[in-house]
Parts: sequence; C-alpha cells; structure tokens
Amino acid sequence: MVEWSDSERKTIASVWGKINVDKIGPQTLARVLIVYPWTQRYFGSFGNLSSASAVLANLKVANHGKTVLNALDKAVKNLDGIKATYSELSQLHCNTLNVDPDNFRLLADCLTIVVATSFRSEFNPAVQATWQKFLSVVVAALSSRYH
Amino acid sequence: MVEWTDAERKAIKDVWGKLKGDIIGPQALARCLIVYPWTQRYFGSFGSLSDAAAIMANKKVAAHGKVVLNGLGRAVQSMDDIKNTYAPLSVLHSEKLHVDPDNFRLLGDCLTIVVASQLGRSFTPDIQAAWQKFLAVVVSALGKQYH
Repeated sequence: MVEWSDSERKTIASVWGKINVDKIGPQTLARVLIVYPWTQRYFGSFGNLSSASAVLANLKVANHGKTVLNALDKAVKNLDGIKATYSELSQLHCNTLNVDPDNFRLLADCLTIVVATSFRSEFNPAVQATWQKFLSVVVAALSSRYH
Repeated sequence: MVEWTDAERKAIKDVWGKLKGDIIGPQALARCLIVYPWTQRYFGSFGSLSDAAAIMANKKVAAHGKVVLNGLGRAVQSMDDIKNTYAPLSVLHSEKLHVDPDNFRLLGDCLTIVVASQLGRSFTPDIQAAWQKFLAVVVSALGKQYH
C-alpha cells in the first residue's frame, strides 16, 4: 500500500486546493489532444478537433476536461484508498471506453505541465516530486482493473 | 529524418531564446535528482544530495546542470542533424558513463516542467507540442549509439 508522509499529504491537499478545476481541466485535456494527437480517436463525437485553436475552443473538450479533473477530487480525499476508489472507473475505461491505459500517464503529464505554468516557482522540486507521486498512484489505480 | 515545420522551428528557437541557461540547467538537473532519486547514483562524487535543499544548494549539481543545458544548445543550432551532433555524446554516455538511457527522457521531462514554470501561460499547447517533439528527437539521438 502506498505510504504518504504528513508533508506529502499537506502538499497534495494544498496544490489541489489551489487548482481551479474549471480552468485547469479544460486546459489539460486540450493539451493532451494537441500534444498527443492520437488521443483524439477517443473523442470522435466531439466535433472539430482539427487544429490547436479548434481544440482550445471546443466546448465538449472543455466540459469533459472539467469532468475528468473533478474526478481527481476523490483521490485527494481518499489518499489511503485510491486503488479501491478508482476500481469502477478503471473497469469503465477498460471494458466500455477501451482506452489504452498509457494515455492516463500522458494526461497526468499534461496536468503537471498546466500546474507548472499556473503555479510557476511555487511548483518547486519538492512539490513536484509529491505531486508526481500522487499522479502515478492515480494512474496505477486507473490501470489496475485492466485485463 | 525528422521534418520540422517553420512553426516548429520558430517555437523551439523562441523558447530556447528565453531560457537563461545558468538558471534553467541547474533547476532541471536538481529536479531530476529530487523527483527521480535513483538518478543520484550517477553523481556519487557530487557531495551532499541528502535532501531537496541540499541538492538545490549543491554547486556541483548547478555546474553540471549548466553543462547539460549548453549541450542542448547544440541541438537547437543543428536541428536538421541532431543524430550526428550527439553521436559522440551518446557513445560517451553508453560506454564511459553507463547511464541508463531512460534517464534522458526523465531529464527532458524535468526540463519541460522548468520551462513551463518559467514561461507560464506563454508555454501554449502548440509550443509544448513542438518543444516535446524536439526533446524526443534529442533523447532518441542520445540513445542511438547504445548497444
């Protein structure tokens, strides 16, 4: 089971507390679709994704970005039970959505970059280390029911 | 051979032009040693790396960070010939330094985060895509001579 130090728990709660989901969620998902264009295959019903500006202006992308980032709240509130927390979401992504779990890591990377652009020097190395540990646990949990 | 659009060339040179090598290099290497602690094994002669504060204050880390980033400058000046530009460095890292080439990607990721935190919102998705493509080519070139 994952061990969290008091300092890590505090850091994760603090970073999460400063994240504006309505802004960061859309930016993150947009970056995934722009930087890793194959991920657009999962969003065939979202309309125009033909260029970076189209992706950034796309309302369905924005809404779905909020949905995805809001789901991270459950992990933040449940650091000691992330695997169980995401068990159903993992099954959904595997069995129904057929998402390659490699993409969870790509989304996590884009989220980290958006957080870095927003928080700037506050996103110092120690905070980065804790945040990346947290996201890697989330990514592992989302992959845990794949078969 | 890698193809670069005019927009990509411009994005990469613009980003490079804004980076202060003396600051960015040390920060990127320090983050690598903090976020991926196993990388410290390559720097046994660098003195105290015992915690984040020690790493950030370590002069040998800072000096070596500058060396690494100056090395990246050669790729920026030689975008159409990165593979050959880095052939001797690749041989060096494989045969003398025995560095696991996976670590090049980790350092690249840390560099991207430092760049993101320095440039803030001006590190747009398009620019991120071009920058990551550039680093992927660099990482591939550094791993090319491994056997």
